[in-house]
Amino acid sequence: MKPWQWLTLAAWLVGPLLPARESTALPSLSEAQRKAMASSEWLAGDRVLSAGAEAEPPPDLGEPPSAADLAAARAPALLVPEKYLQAYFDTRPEAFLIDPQGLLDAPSAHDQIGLLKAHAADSPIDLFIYVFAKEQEIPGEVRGEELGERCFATGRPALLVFYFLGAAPQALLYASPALPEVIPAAEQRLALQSAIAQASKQSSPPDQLRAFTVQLTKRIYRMEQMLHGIADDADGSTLTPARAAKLAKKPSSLAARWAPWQPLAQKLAIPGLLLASVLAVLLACMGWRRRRATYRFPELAVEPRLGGEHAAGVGAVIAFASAALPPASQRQQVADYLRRT
Amino acid sequence: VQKIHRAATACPHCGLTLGDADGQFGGRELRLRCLADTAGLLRHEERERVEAAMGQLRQRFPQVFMAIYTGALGEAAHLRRFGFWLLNRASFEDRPSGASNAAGILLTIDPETKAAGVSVGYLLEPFLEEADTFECLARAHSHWLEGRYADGMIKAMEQLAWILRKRSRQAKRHPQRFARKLSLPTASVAATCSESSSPEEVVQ
Repeated sequence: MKPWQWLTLAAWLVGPLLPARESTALPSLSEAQRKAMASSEWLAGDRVLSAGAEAEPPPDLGEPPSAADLAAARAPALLVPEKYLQAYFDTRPEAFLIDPQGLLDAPSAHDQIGLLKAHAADSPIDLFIYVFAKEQEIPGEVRGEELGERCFATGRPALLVFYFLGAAPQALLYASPALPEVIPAAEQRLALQSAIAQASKQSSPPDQLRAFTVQLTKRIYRMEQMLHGIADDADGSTLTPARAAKLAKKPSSLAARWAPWQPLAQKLAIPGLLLASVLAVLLACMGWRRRRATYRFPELAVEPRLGGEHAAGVGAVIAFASAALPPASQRQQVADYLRRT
Repeated sequence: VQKIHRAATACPHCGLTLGDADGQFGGRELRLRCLADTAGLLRHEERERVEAAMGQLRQRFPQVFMAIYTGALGEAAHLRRFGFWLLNRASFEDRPSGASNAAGILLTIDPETKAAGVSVGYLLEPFLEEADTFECLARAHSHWLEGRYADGMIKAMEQLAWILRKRSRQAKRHPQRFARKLSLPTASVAATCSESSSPEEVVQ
């Protein structure tokens, strides 16, 4: 047996023979102490230490809830009434605030519409806010991406927000088809989170919506600045309408610039290719002919000189003994006094 | 280089004739290949490259052939006089059949005195000026300065081909312009002159 096994066996055998440890009694208050402390509002440990206090009966919780009850309790949301679906999702809205249910009171709605109009005047990117009640759910057949593609494929680029009044964190942001090319999805997510954070600082739902909208417009403006390289202060200044119009007209990407020419390019592709091929063949033939070309000189009768049967004319001479004597300095090879005509 | 009257039998300045050159270099016929690297400046593969360039030149200008001679000429010799003598006395074994030395362009390189010269036969005399041949040599100068003789030769031949192509076109368009150069007695041509042909004189 190993030593540790011996020790364990010994402890097991000796343990019951040792005297039992006395348990420490809980502190107790005397009646006088209790009265003195009761005069204050709060008595530390009263519920634990009061010996005479009567134990409260456990609350009657009734029957435990069934699974069906739990499921029902987890889905209190109501679908958006069908009669409003057409007003919400049928066509591209004319107003920037879509609230057919009249969830916002008139002053708040007026204020919100003014805010969104001002944004639209300053920015090439429109912002549409669809207002729903806090507990409402959008029907499953409605999808934000599909709505964007169906209603916002043409016209100015836009951001769509499904905003649940009083529940800003549930807000959803969608972009019209042209926009994802311009603004990265990560930027859109950051903008939404920032707007939700600002809304959460307000207490009343209309104020939350206003804070949400203001922050989102700021983030949109920052995105424009980032994309168009406009370097000025992002918080205070706003774009002039002329600048906004210019930005709106400016093609957002290479694909957008290319789009008007695409049909023409498709028409001309095959003739152009043929023409280019013919030109290439012609150039190749010319190059081949030029490489194969031979050159001849007229044979002129030259009188022999200096007794030379084949040659008497001379060309140049060059010295390459030193780099300090470049060809340029050797070009004039004969002093003038030696030249006779 | 001296401008002398056409059909002069001797240089009016120094009296040089081919007979004088024969006395200096030998009067017998010299059998050579077009690429005669007697100085041993070219390695085997360099010879192949140079010969290929010479072949291309011959292909593009069928009337003309290129000859290259490398060798030490000695202190007393003059590059121009030697070129004049060699082009008249040499028999190039591999020159195009039917072509005489009058259709030759001779590039002479003396690696001892570090000088190079060009001599042309009578066929090209009306079409090539001294400045043209100097351009060819100038193109090769930097290569020869670094001892890259083959590269320099090829560069010189490329430049020569470019000039010859230009001159051929000009001669086709305006033949009278070149014929006028040869008309007597007003025209004058360059001729060999021992007094002014040495590279040393050029250096001065």
